[in-house]
Amino acid sequence: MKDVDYEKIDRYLEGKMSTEESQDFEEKLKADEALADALALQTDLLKGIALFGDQQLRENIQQAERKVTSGETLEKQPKTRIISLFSTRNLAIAASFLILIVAGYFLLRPSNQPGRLYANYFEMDQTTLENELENLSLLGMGIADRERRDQLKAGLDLVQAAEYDEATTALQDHLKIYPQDEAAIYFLGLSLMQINSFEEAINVLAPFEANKESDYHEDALWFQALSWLQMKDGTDNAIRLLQQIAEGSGSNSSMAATLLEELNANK
Amino acid sequence: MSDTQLETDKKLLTELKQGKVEAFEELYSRYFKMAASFVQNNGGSSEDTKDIFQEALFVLVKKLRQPDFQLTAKLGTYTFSIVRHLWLKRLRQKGNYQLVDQDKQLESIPLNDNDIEVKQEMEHKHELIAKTMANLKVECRQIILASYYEKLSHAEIAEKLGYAVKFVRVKLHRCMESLRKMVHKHPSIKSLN
Repeated sequence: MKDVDYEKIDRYLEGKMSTEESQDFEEKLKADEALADALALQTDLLKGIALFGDQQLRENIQQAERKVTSGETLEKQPKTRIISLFSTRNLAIAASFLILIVAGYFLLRPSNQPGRLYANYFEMDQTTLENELENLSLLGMGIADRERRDQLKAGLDLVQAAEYDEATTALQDHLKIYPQDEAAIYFLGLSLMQINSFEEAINVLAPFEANKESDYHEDALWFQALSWLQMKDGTDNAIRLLQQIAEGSGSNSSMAATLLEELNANK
Repeated sequence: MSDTQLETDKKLLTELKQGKVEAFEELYSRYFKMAASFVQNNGGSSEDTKDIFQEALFVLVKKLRQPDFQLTAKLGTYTFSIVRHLWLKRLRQKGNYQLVDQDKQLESIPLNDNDIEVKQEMEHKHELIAKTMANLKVECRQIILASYYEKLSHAEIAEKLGYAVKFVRVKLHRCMESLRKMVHKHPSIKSLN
């Protein structure tokens, strides 16, 4: 798969090839299964990206509407001339329509709203990661637990390189030997989130909830809450954790309050 | 139109193409009342207006992003023409509901169960890919959307995101690799292949 020329595939899909080049490419497709698979994957990816882009665009438009309507109510529009002409029958139809609109709203509203909120709020904790890596590289002399540090650094380097599968394995191996290493537990949780293993991430981060003395306590709650958003019926758990964060004075408290507002607005 | 107004509209158009919330807010404050007046004087409710105006802004951005599209009318006139078109279309659909829909439904009914299943699976796969996109890092989402959704050139992306042009190519390549990797490993997508 690494040898596939995706720029060429893009040019083919965008119709930017000359007729001759396009024919040549199609001939290669017949003979090269890997190239055909890569073309199929790229086609699917572009459709998925377009769908995501449309969702984001609609979300931005709705956000603007919410902002504008929270300042001034859009209900105060000029009354319609037609409404006064409605007969009883038409009013009944209008009422049915209203019921349909309301029912339609509840039936058709996006079911993945928490998922989209997750996408808006989740971001790797780059600051803590960089601090940890810096600490690990600074203290190099006479360190009793040199082996622990080297192993942890190797795991965190993989997180930094966005190699989350490998990071997960490395940090899990590290924790078999040093089960209390909080940095390893925390970044294992975040790496699991990156590979969509949300249930596992919640379990890994769970011990921080009770450990209020830990430096990772509040951040771990935050990421646990975000993971719950990705779980079926997990919104209530997310809200419970977000309330804890919002009531505190940690670095995530204002973000948690905003997210809570959005979740409540979408209920 | 004054030069200042032209400049403001030019900036607004650029921001609309980028899908910025602030640009949509500006359009709401400029043209929503006009849209409400039209829709509600033609049998629509305030909910219809909100719905149609949202759709109109979506269509407007899509139009603006078309490479060969050139806005020749004033922005307000063009926005209103989209609102008008969408609302009249909806009224037509309401009025001739059975006739219009029967024809369309007949055309779009898949031939057999297998076709229906394949279509649903494809849609489901694309939804899962969209969801996977949401899990990418912010900067990866931005660069992928800018390139494949907004269809910006590498130079335009560099300007928009504050990168060096050469870096855009490398970064985009890496981000697409991450997306491919995540999609490959996604258990639900795997089962659809």
